[in-house]
Amino acid sequence: MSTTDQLPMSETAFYILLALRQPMHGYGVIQHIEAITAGRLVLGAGTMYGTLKKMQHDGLIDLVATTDSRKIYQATPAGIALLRAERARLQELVQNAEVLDDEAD
Amino acid sequence: MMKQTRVFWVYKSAQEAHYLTAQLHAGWRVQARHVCRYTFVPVPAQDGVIRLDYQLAADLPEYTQLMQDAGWTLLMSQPVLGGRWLYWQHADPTARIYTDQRSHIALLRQLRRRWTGVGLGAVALEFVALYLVCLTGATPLRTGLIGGLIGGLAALYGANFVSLTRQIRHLEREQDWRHGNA
Repeated sequence: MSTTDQLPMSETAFYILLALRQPMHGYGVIQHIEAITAGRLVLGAGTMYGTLKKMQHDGLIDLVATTDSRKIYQATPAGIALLRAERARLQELVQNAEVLDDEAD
Repeated sequence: MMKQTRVFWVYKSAQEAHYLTAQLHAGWRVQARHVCRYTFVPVPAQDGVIRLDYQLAADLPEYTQLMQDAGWTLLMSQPVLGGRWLYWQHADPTARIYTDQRSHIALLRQLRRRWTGVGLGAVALEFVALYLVCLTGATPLRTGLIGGLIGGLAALYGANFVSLTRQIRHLEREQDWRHGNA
């Protein structure tokens, strides 16, 4: 599956993959995303678990370690490439939306 | 201890969770379920929520740890079709196991696939039974019983398939609308 086939990313997937630039376990990712979105995005554990499994299946993240029953994942180069592609898409979107500043209220 | 009988089919799992949550708020926490018979133990009346989930057996250790890290308490689980129905309690009444359409849709699709497979298998077996009955001497009673069973199973699993499909399409439409694909 090419990078463009996986765009646009959902907000959930984007933030999970962004968090996994560093090795982290699932609940750590939930806490990290809640912190960087100032509490706006609190992911359900079921959503987190299902998305981790899918990303692992798609080669976007790898299992890097296991401690107790917690598995630690990290984004792969393919995952980072997808993040960069999504960032470019969002930057284009925001840039085009700047016309709103030119319009009278 | 209190026991109550309620019938909730797979596509009514949200209603089952709602019923168990109402009992929790009234001071009764579910302890066990045997087919349609629920056993409750008295607890202080409390806020909180009970939600149900289904996971394959192979995935359980990691999934269970993540749920517990997120503040969920496992009340009980029921083995079924290579996986388990899991009954979770959270102190926060607004807590949800699934917070986006995509993962919720994936769960509903898995439920639909497994239960429809079982339904088709059961109906096929009943047709085999009907054929054998016809070979060995069919009577109106025997064929009627088996025919009724076939009809009942088909209706039950058919309703399950239709309802789950309706829930999936509702979530997919919401997802498409949000991503501008409508």
